[in-house]
Amino acid sequence: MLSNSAKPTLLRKILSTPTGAIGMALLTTVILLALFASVLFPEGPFEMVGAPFRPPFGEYLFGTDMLGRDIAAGIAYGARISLLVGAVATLVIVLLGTVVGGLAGYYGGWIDTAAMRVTEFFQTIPTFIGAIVIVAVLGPTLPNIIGAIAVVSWAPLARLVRAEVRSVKGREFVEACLSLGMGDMRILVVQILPNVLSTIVVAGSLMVATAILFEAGLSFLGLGDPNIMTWGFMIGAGRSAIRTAWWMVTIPGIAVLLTVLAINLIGDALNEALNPRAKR
Amino acid sequence: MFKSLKSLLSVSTIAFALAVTASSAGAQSPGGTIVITTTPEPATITNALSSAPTTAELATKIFDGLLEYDMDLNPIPSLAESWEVSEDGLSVTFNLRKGVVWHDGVPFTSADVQFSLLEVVKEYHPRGKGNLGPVTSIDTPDDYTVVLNLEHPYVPLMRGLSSLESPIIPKHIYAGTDFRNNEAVNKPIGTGPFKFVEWVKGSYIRLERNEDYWREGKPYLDSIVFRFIADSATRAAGLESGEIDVATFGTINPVEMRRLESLDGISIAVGGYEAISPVMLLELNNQRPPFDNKLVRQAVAYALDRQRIIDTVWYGFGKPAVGPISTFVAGSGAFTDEGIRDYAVDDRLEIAGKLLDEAGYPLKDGKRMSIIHDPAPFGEDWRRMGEVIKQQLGKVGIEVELRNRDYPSFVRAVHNEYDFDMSSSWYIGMADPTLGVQRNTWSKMINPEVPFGNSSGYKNPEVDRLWEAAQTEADPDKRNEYFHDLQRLLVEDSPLIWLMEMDLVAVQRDRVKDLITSPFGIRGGLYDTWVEK
Repeated sequence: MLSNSAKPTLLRKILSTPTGAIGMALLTTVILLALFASVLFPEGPFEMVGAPFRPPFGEYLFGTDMLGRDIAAGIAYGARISLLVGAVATLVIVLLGTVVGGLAGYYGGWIDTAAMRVTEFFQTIPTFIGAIVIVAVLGPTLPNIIGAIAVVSWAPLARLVRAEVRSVKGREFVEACLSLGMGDMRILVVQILPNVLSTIVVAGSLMVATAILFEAGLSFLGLGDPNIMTWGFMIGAGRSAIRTAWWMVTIPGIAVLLTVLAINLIGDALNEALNPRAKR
Repeated sequence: MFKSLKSLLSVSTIAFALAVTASSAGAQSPGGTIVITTTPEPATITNALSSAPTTAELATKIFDGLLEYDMDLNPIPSLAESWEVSEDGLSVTFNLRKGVVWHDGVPFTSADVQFSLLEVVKEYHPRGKGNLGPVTSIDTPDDYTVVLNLEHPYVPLMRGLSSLESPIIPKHIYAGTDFRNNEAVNKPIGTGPFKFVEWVKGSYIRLERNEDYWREGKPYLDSIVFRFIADSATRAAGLESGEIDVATFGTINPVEMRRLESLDGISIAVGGYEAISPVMLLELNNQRPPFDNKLVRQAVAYALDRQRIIDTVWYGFGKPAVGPISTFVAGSGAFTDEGIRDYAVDDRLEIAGKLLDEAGYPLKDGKRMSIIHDPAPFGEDWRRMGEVIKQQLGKVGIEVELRNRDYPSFVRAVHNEYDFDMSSSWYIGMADPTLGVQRNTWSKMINPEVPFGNSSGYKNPEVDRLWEAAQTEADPDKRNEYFHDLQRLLVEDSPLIWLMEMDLVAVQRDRVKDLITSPFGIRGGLYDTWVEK
């Protein structure tokens, strides 16, 4: 599906829609910010560079926080963490969801029943509360946070993949493959999965946004890794000073908003590009 | 002679000035109610059985102690009108006030004192052993005389007899019962300026003026209401709207306190924590590397910029600590800054670097060592302080990893298992170093069963000898010598890093007058407090 010749067309398709173009522009900015954080702010996000409570658009672009840390530096380094968490958590979710959903959908029978009962178990846990419990028990480190987000979020994707695999499995070309004597795994990976991929890509792209919000929420509640600067942490720390210094909360809040918005816009554009019939 | 005359003169000048301000501000008018917000809601409101801070805030209005203290922490009369310490320091005789009655009308007598101190406070109050430990028996020759017999001379005794530390509770209600389950614990009957009226759990506690209070014409207020509000922003809004008159320290974030202070009709109530002399510190694990090395501990003491921590994290509510014994107790002569190593010098970062080199931690790739810091789980300000400490120690090559834990796991790891490198905390130094400061560095306080003792595991025979000598020394001057020696020794050895003397200020509406009139502040009886109408 995403072969070399199709790639430019897909990108062009995304960019041709206004939502996709805006989304890509925003996301590219965030990615560049993350990449060049250590060039732009070599002293790091925790360094107290100036006087505390400096308002934005003065000596410091986004002002300083209550300890005199540069908020712009926090935004740049926080972008790294948000993107990292979004990407890695989504990767884990997609892998888990695809494996469980694919096997359950393809084989059916007791495998399906067992897999679906497990996913139901995970779906009954309120996701954010589940993540809080996992992080609180295992301790607030970045791998634990990513793991917690993945653990509470993979189940819906597994069900989605299962449903898609089941419907594709009933098609004639799959029966043809079977009659040619192809192995189960080969059919699943080579024949069925490419036909389900567009669904996974669209669902996955939206997961990135959810994962970023989860991480921000956990950090806001003080369950982030205290050694890492994140946007959620900045919002949580600035909250007590909100009446005195609006920018400490507002600026990282806008960063979260724009990033999540960008990813959602791209997700919508992807959906339109990959499933043109689904919407119209 | 000349000196005493001069001091007499200055005292009378102050008294005159006070009289003038009092009359020009209009006499204290009786009546009115004040609403105090505090947090958390106490579990119990009889402080003879608990040392919880909010329990004490309530109970000190309801109960009296034998003594109270002036701003220099010298004893002044309360339930005891006068007292005399025997020449050998082994007994203290108190002459009790006559005509005092409990809130239920029963007369107060020496039997109440004997019962309260010996059977309740000494046994049940967490600081009872410290305040009254050497008291072996109490004689009551008549209804208005009590004689405390001591195992050895014990100067701190006379500093721990306030309503905060050793409240007197009614024997006729408690004798022969299970104290903790006595229903009077949460419907207390005392001799204090205010009577308990009602407690609506989760909402408020109301106290009312004791019409029969032994201080003539006092208290001025008709009632005091303690309100419990879960959220800090709501408490701040309550103060702003005038719904709340006083917010105790810790109920409102320091940054919000500074904002409220700038508003009309609201100010910061400074003072009233001298008697508990709170000090913030970093605990270092002296029993394992790298902090088993004195040079490393000194390097940390040099590397930290205390004033910056106070200004940014605590918004100026404190001042740099010189050592374990704070300037709060300067009035008794226990404090000294003579001959004390000064860590706040200009070239402190260079010195810290040299000390670390000497200790065998050379700089490699900008780094000398890695340690873990567990900030105290007392709120986000403590986490902010951890972040500042991490940056400041990073400047001398000590890489700090922060680890945030919930309260139970923090106490278990740091104070029970001693599994930590560096942790933040605070202690109340009390009016006498033996009562509050001693426990952090006396080796007999290394006990995993009792949290917030000598958790750093510091052992120094000379320090032990001085603490123990101060416990039994009867001569105040000699004791102060011991304390000065301790101060010099401990600051030099730096087993802990004393960061700041904390100002546990309250925020108040300006209509409340004379809120802080004693070294206990809001933890006093508030019988001098009045409101402007």
